[in-house]
Amino acid sequence: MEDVSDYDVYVIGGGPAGSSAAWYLADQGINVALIDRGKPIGSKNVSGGVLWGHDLKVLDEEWWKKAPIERAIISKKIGLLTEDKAMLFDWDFEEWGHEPYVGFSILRAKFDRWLAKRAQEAGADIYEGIAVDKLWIEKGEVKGIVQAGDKFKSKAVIVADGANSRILINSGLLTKPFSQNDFYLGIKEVLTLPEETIEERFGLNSEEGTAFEFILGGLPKNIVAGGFLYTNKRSLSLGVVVDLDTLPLGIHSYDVFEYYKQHPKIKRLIKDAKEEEYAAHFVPKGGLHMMPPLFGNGYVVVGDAAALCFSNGLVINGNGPAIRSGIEAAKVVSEAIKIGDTSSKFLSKYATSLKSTYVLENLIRFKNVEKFKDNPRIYSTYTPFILNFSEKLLREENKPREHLVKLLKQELKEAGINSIKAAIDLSGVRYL
Amino acid sequence: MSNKTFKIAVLIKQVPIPSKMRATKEGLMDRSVASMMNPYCKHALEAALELKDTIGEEKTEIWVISMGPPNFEQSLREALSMGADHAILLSDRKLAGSDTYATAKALGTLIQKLGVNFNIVFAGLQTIDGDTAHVGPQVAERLGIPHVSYVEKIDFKGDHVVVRRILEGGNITYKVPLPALLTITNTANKPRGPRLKYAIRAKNEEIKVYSVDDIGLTAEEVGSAGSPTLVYRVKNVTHDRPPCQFMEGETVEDKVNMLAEKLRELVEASKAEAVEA
Repeated sequence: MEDVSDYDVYVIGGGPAGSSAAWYLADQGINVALIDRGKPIGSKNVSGGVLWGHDLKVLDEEWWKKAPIERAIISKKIGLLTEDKAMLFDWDFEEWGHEPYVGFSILRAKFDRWLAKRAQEAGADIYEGIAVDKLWIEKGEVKGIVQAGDKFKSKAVIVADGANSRILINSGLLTKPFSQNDFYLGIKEVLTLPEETIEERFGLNSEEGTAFEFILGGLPKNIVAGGFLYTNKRSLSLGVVVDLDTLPLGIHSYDVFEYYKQHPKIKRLIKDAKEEEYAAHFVPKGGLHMMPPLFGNGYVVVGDAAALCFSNGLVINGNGPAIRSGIEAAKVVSEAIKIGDTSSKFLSKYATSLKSTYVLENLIRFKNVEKFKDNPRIYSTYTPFILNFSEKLLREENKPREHLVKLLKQELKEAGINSIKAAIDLSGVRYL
Repeated sequence: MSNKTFKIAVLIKQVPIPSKMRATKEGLMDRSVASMMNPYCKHALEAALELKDTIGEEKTEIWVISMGPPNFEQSLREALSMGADHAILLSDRKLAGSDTYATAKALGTLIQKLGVNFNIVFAGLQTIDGDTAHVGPQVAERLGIPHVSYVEKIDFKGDHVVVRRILEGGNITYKVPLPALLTITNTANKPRGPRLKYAIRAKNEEIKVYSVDDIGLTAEEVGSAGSPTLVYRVKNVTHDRPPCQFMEGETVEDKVNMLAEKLRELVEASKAEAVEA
């Protein structure tokens, strides 16, 4: 089987990164195969559910008119939750509701299948339900792929198999092994609700959607976790992202999800909604420290496999960087194949071009953001404090009121917060 | 055709995905909904692939054979990407409404028409849409070869096979001369997934489609006309979830103790019943 060469490029993984890459390559007339472990293709893919930006415009100028998008996000809400309190910053941006839109809620089961289909229509061959073993490497050069022990020769391979890439692990291509500390765990439910109810409840017009993100405070110990809620056409995507490393013994990630789901604020928002789908998935924390080499002789790595997921606590974006990196990689690979040079030196152009986009630039610019967003005190100390303090501030009890600063001092003292430490923690805001 | 000496046929059917299953107004299965390879057929195919592994790839040839609308190609291609070598589809509007008698007649005739002297024929125990388990054995009768149904274990012995047939509360072992037809249970094996090597080959493999004319039958012999079975009425049966008791307690120990207590009660009750009887 050694000399079989059915394809110029194998793309491993049918998520937004892999399918975009395959689509681009097929458009360029490159003989490409897109292989996914899931059947139907993409059925193992999970994300919160908003696609921000227009990276797909390179492939289709009016992609959103054809893609199975749910709602255009016109409002964003960022909040704090403790057991019985909630606080929300609530923004409405009318211009987000018009072209060019800023983001759309999507259901990956539909969206990923559409994206793969576009790649197929462009000429890519799709193989579903097939798990690739690893890359075929000889003398430091990727020659192709290995599946069920069979070798398949190609000119280049695009690794797009998602978070905790088995392909990179099995091929020994990580400079430093992934650790549990490199990932969050995302747990998500899709809950169905009639279209009119969603629009009425969230104050939306038809086609408009909203995105909530919460800091989950007041959980036991120092658990670092966030919650999200996105509106789809006829459903809600509700979930949590948990830093597994901060879970104490005996508390499970699903307990955190339950805590979130049972919160009175969330309960009101999801009232009468019916569970339709449950999913869980690794989310790369992203960032330069966990990033594997992005290229080598005969291969490039894209999307979550390359940990190109960005979050600073205010925005979280994995789909956008996945698509963008898939396209940037495909541009370089297609050029490489046309001139017949898929060496590491040539493919390094991919990393260079990625640096000129927001994908890598964000990770470089925000390389210290976890110092702020993964600081447990944000979750276990300050969030409860802010909510308790504001509750006292806002409560009217027909008694003489305290001045804000005095009340703040009192409350800080009562909560046992060291103001110097707090000031240092707060200065972490500069990483945002 | 080839010097592969051992030839295996596998009968395959495509069925609606259970959650999408529905009947047409005429009381026939709606074949337009999303569908998949019948799970039992996958076990039959796996049995064939395992036999191929035993005898040797170079000596064995697997033919997957199906009867149904053109979209059955999906399952035939899936079978090819799992490792089958040839795929045949009998597809004709005249076949619509065939019961198991007409289906077996058509399939049996097709197999004879192919002119391949199959050493063994595999079929799934039954389909999950019809549930009759009739087609396999009837095809064997048509072909005039012995058959064993409910087979979960096969030992290849050259000119014969030793098979284990499951029964309620036990099993029987048969020595079966070849050629023979075996229908395979879902306990027999764990079907493999597709393999890229075969999946690539399957992309370009031609699926030979036969019509009723091609196999020399007439419209009267197949389809509803050739089916002695008449569908009188189709009723949608709905039922509630079976009675289910939840063990509720503070801790896992509580729940396990409750469950153990419950099971003990049930055992005592059935003992008492046995004594009475």
